[in-house]
Amino acid sequence: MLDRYKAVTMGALMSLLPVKEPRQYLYDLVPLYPQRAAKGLRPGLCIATCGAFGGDPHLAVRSAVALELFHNAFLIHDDVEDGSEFRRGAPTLPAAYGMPIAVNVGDAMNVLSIRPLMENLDALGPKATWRVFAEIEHMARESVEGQAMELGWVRDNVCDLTEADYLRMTLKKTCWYTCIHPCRIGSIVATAGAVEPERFDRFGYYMGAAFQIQDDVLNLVGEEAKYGKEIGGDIQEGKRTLMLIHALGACTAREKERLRRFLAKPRAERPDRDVRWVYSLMRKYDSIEFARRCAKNLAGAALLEFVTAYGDRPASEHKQFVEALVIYMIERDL
Amino acid sequence: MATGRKIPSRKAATAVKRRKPVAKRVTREPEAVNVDEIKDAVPEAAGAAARAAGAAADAAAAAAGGGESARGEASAAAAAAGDELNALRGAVGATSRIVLQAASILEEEIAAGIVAAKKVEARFVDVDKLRGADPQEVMQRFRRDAHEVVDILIDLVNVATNSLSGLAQRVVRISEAGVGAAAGAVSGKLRPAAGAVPSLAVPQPLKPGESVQVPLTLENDGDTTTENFRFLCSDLVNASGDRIAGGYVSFLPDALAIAPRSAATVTVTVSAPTGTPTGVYSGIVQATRLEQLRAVLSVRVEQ
Repeated sequence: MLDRYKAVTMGALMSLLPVKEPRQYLYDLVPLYPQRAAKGLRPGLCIATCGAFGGDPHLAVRSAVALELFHNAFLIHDDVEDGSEFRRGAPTLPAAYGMPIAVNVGDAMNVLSIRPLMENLDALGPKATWRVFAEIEHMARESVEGQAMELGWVRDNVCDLTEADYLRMTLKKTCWYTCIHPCRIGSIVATAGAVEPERFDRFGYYMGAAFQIQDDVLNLVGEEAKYGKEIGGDIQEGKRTLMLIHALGACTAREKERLRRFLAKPRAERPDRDVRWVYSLMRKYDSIEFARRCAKNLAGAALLEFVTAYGDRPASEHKQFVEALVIYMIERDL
Repeated sequence: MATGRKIPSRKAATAVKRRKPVAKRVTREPEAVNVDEIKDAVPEAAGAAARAAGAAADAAAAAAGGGESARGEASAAAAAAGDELNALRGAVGATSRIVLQAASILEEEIAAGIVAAKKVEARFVDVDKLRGADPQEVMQRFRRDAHEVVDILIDLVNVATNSLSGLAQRVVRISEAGVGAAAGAVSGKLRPAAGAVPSLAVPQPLKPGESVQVPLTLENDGDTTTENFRFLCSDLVNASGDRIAGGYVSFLPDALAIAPRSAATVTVTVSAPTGTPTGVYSGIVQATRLEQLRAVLSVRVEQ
């Protein structure tokens, strides 16, 4: 199903791209990230929720395209901000084309995402179109706020963070736009808002947080070819993951001071041996195992909330797809 | 405006506006996460657990249709997945601290974000009205090039705001410093000057001997609960000097305190005694303990 959702979304996305110059430095680059081995989770959730709530899934495709464009714009800008080198198994856009081109392509994707939302008007009517706009506005704002939190922590070398800080940042940076809003938008498209979108908030949050933590764990223990990014890149980057926050809270004062000094260095000046030391510290204090357990708990909570959010819907392939996603998270072998 | 006393929170601010439908904020404790409980409670989840275990998918899918017999089949199917479910139970366990924390954070963020966004939407935009007023113009403008979209949205807001008779001007945000300003107004033109007292106009006219109710939503955007406060109202006076005594304006509830980042609704009832002359009557509504929370209440009396 995910492949089907992705194929429909990508078809609509490609048809949206202007066939004109400048191609080499703009329009040819726009589909690069979406075409890579992305899961298409956001459009999948949006279209599936629309279908699960009795809507015509095709009506959700424009919104799904907007979500996918926003997501990939975030990724490009994220790669610029983080100085990442690989994304989905290939060089990042800034690494391959330079930072100015990459920033502009990200900007273009943000702008391009507006049109499908405007084109919702004919099919959805003004009320639902406006509501989807409002959802997107909130989604984008939350994402940049969450990103700002994380960037600020790295910039100012904040080391006294708590799980609650992490959860709030993840909610804002990831969960709203990865899970919560796709579900909410899908239901708005299906029911014109007759179903309260708030019913998806907890489900989306727990699922999004579980995904994010799992993704961060994979960054440490995954296979590079399968994961598509540099293993240990988050440590190199100084990213405040749940594992790092846990290790900072569990280690000795001396270890914490060394860790703080490591994190105070610019990314390029963090030697591999220090990255390995941070990794060993996480192992020593079971920080990775702790994060695994948190992810499992959140995935379990998402399963319960799935029942709340989708339980009163009749059986359908769309509902089953969402259900399978949660089960996949619970069973995912990290 | 001078403040008699400080609002407890640094960021505490209370906004008053005519009530539009307020986003329902469902507050509930996260329930224990236990696959068996889910399985027993809801057939679909039983199906999910069974499929996750790779067993009895057909029976569970049938159970998704609902009904007692189907539920029984689902439970049986899920039970057949015994060991796998136990493994799942071990994985998801009971409610963990992280889930509780997450639930709490979500509630806070929703109170701060989504509700505010919905209120902005409700306050400024009545798309049906827009469409009814001039559908072609709105539709055509909406379809133009992407780079115009921001202007279009601002136009929508402005048109909607105008069509709602300056509703935004009745929005009050009162800061610790006691400076009145319109809250949430997208267009700066709508903001009254600092220190201006906002107007709370009853939208429909009132006949002598009748009363009208106006629900108001009070928002506490701060981090601490406000002090318990009540509303007072001066006499309402028209341009000829005729009066409606302040006692004809009542508030329900009479007293309240608002939790941080939450909202409360007060119903204002204005009555016009028999024989009240025609005219627009205005008076000052004032909150006790929150001196900066005040506004001009006005109502038109027609025969």
